[in-house]
Amino acid sequence: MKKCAIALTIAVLAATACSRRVVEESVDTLTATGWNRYRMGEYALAIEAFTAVIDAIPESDPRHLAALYGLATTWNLRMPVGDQDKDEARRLYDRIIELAPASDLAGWCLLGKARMIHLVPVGQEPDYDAVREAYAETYRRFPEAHPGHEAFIYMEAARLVQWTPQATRESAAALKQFIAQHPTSDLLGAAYGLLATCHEILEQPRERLDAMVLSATNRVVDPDSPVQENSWLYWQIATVAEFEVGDFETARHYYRQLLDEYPQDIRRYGAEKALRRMDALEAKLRAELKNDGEA
Amino acid sequence: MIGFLRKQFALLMVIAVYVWAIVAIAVYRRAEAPPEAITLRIGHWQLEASVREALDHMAEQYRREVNPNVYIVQDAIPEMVYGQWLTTQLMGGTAPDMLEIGLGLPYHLIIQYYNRYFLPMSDIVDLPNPHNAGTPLEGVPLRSTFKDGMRNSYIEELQQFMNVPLSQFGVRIFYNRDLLMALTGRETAPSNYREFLRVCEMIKAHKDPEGEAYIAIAGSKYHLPMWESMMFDPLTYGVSRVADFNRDGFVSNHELYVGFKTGRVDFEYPPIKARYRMLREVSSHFQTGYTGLTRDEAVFLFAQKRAVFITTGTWDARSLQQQAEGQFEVGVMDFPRPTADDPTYGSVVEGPTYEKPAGGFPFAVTRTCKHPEVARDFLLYLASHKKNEELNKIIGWIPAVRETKIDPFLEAFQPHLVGVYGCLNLFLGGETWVKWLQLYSLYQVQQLSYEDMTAEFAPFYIKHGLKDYLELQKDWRRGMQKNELFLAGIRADAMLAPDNTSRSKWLSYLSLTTARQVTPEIGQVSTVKMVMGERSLPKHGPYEYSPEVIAAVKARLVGNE
Repeated sequence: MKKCAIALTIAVLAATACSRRVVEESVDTLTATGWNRYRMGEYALAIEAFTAVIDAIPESDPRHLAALYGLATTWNLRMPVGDQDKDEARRLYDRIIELAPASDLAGWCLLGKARMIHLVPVGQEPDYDAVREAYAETYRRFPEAHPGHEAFIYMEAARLVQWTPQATRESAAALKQFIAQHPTSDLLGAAYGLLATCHEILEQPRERLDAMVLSATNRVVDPDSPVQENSWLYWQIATVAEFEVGDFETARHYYRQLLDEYPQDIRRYGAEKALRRMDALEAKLRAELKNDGEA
Repeated sequence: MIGFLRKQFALLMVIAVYVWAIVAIAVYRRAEAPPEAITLRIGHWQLEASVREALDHMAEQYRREVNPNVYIVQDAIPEMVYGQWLTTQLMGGTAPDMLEIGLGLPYHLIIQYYNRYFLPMSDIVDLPNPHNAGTPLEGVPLRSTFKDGMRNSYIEELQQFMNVPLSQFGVRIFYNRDLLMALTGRETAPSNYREFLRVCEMIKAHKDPEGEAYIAIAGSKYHLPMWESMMFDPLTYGVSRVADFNRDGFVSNHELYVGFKTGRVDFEYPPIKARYRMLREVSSHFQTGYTGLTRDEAVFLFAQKRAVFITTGTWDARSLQQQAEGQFEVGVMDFPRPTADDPTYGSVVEGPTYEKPAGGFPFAVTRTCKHPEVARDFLLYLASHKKNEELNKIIGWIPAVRETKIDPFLEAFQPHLVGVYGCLNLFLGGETWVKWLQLYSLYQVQQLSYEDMTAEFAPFYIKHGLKDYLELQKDWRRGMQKNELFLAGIRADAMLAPDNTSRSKWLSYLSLTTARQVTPEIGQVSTVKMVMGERSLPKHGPYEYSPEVIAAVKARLVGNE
């Protein structure tokens, strides 16, 4: 009986050791598995995977924080909305910020919390003051990191939605400052895009056009994706140049760029017609000028 | 013994049937392929004989030219049950190795199934197709060998290429050449709209051997949308000049509503009026009661030589040819267009209908496939320059691969890559949409005039459209939350990516974030303000020159000279 008990204990210990080793070996893959489950919409399994990592390794390990972040995100965003636990998500985000306040992950957590304020349930309007403040805090604490830049863009977008000249002017000033301070930011194109919107609201077509051109020049496009493209942006720039500014050179340049880069685009007919239309208008105006001169 | 048999009869029967099933399956499988062979199953919903014949032929060629040990077995499933069949097979782990995707399931389920049950193809799209050696596409990255650049194969939600398209599709008008000749004396169908109407009138004036008038066009509720999208809707392209407020080249439902509400456009606007006039003119040559008829009833009329024209897509081309075999010759024509000097349509007709090149007949490899590399290789074989041409020639479809020859019968199906498109989206959901459908269906069957239809609808649309529009906005906010869910997954992908792919993943994340969450919210607010009348609109339409712009152009010309 005694021998049996010893054998059983050894077996249990061996099994535990094996299981620990298995967990230790698969921590990295478990986090990836958790995210894969998340993407597949299997949130309970995602939570299980992230929790297994959290339970297996100490808080000081960055992988622990990464799993905490996965868990927080799952509770925050899982569908249906009724299954979400925003309080738990907020608590987990705060825990990460507390454990590693200077890490990029803390920045993403701050941004996650700000997005929770912004993305209100259907039928409600966000408290835009609180939203902007939450984004501002993220940007203040992470002015040189991805989450900080993303927060800044969201903050200015949240300011622009007021659609008032005062807020728009403030936003334009902030965007110009951001552009000057972060000339290599991956979100430079987005910042110029927002600046173009500022000038649209302020009814400044020339400035709008300039900002749109810079937005196109600096726009981030995933090179692997065949569906992300600039054709619509070229069309917008060309038509603003043609119909709002009367800058036919810029208009021609972007209509042609559209035709060259996207020969199968649906706007091709419109672009070809626009090139002919501008030529015709210029010819007509030249004739008028000539007649006026002769008269 | 007899007592035992009697007592256990039911059980013994079950066992016997089970054993019979095992033996039957073993025998069938043996007949399909030798025991040591690699057998790949391919599932699709194309019951047309030519598709099955073509796939069998290509499988035979693959075995002869590439791998003598590979046998392809087809599971051709009827359209009606394809979605359920696919779901059952995938969930049960018994799905074929390659599956055609796209029918019978909502988009969000297709995404989930792709993610869960299919192998991504992204790792091969930038590599040359090995079966293109010695062809004009040798060395060209796989995705660049397709006419559509594999755009339709890319699933943005997964950031992966998931399938290989094998064909392209288009819609045209088919006609009975013999009957056209007999009734009108014409060898070919007219490409001019007015002539087309005249020919229809001539056809209607003749009676068949039973004494009934011939029908010019076989129509049905299945066929009407094809006429609408290919012939009537493009007339409304001009609406964009006054209502494309955000300058994206399209007129969305809310832009159209703003256009109507602000009086910039109404049902008297020539492009809109022309669209409904043409519908009335063309549909008056359909058989009576066409809106209540199904596809088969229209095809039957055509096959029975009682109607001269029918519209349908390349997918029906061979079937129609086969049905007509020995009875009459089938011709294919483009949709007739009014000329620029047409008194009614000349001012609004601008060009042919734009047709976006899009790959169809797409196949993906399932995760349960025991030989995924072989399955992929077979799909690459079918997507190679020569073989794609051959496959589609047999089926009677358009190849999906560039620089391939098209069957002469299908020449009229060459897509129009330069053209116009519809800009009249009246859908705002709710009451206005129900009202529109009621009135429009009465107009289609000539129980309501255009004047009466629009006089009743326009005020209703303007009055109730705002409520319906605001209700639609709830979907927009739901969409924001779904985007957030999706983007968090993409962000995690970037965070966990190894150094060599991390940059590309971050770029993907940032561009998607900007496109899906930043820009739309501003656009949304801008639109709501426009709809609510809180944002002033420029005096001129988005594609109309203002005097200030004319002055600026003039000033520049003066400066240059």
